[in-house]
Amino acid sequence: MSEVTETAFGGILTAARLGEEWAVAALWRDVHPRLLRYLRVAAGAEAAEDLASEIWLDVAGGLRRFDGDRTSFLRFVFTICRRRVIDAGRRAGRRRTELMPPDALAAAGPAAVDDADAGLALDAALARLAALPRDQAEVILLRVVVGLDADTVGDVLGKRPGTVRVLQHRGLERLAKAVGEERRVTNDVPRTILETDEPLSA
Amino acid sequence: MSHFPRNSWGGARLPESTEPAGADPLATLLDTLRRPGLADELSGEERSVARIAVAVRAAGTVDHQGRGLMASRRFRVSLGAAFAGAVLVAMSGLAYAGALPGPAQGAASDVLSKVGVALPTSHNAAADTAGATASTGDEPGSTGDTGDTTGDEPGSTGDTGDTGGSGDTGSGDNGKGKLISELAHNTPAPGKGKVIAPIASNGKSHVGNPPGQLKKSGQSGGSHKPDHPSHPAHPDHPSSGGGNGNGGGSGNGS
Repeated sequence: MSEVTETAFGGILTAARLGEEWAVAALWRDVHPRLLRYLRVAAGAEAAEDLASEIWLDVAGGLRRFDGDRTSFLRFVFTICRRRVIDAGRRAGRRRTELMPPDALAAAGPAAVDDADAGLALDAALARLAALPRDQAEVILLRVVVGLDADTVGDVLGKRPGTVRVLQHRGLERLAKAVGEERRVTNDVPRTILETDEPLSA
Repeated sequence: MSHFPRNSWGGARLPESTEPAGADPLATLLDTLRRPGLADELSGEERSVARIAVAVRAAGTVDHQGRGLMASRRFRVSLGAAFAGAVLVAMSGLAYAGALPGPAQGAASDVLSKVGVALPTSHNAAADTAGATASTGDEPGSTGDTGDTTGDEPGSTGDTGDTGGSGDTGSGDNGKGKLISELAHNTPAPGKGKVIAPIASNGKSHVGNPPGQLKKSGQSGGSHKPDHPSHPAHPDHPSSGGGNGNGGGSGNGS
């Protein structure tokens, strides 16, 4: 993700408040991929794009009032994002939306994590996150994908920093366990001939 | 980006077991999550950015108007609160003075009695008025005025000096004015109103009765107010007796 540096952020924000497209583009490139990844886990892949558009319009509406550094901006955006996700969940009449259809994770398979196709690997990684309990998945998304510290994540989620750290620890532990188990299963599967490095014999 | 080389013949990826030793699968997963934005994630950038920029510029205008509206709302709310407070204070003052119309006075008395503030009820206020009119002997200066304004017969207001008689004539109460005049003249100042008011009001006034007693009996009248302690009678004032006669007579006549 093309990150906006802290030093450059002030100037970019000032220009973005005036509606300068180059500055808005810089902010968008910095935040939008993180936003989409968060939304794909929290609200589902189908709703992610639409929700992201709504969130950006909300951000645009509040940009002139916003004042702060890059971390504050990310907190601002993801606070809006989380509210939007909650609203969408209420509208859908369910507490949690699945990231992907159940068969998508199976289709991605263990090997998909290491897929050369970055998109597929990302899909698989997000699918693994979506398999976690919601609060753990949110914490890991905000800590790892968005890059917020525990205090800021606590602000966004309405939890104490200590709780955030505990959730992060449990989530990563669960994630590591899941990945490790799949790896063992994969290693037990005999290789097919096309998966070996040995040359084909005539 | 894959960690693994592709073989030259089939493009098939090497299995995970060939991953470099010591690589943490969890770290790999997290690295994947942190990857820079992919092409499909950044697609539609121009359209999105243009829309956001327009929204930012529009929000500037709307925001300005919104702030004006907010300030206006705040001002209106403050103004309304100040007005309501002023009305409340004014109504409380009027209620304390017993000057509200009957039902309003009764309601105010009921409400404020619950918080320990004793107010005259509407009946009390009426009785006070009657009592005050009847006991105008306590206020010599006012008797002549009352007589002047209420007397149907201007000549009976004490111009002749026969004040008691003029009261009778003015009121037509068969000597009641004279009686009241005498009472006013002879009764000592403290409690004079209590003696005179029931007679002057034909028993309607209950000046000095406790409020609870009034409610139980269902009668009107009664006042918590002292009999004008700030205006003691002037027994040595010769004209006050005559004045009383005028006041009593004229009060009844009216």
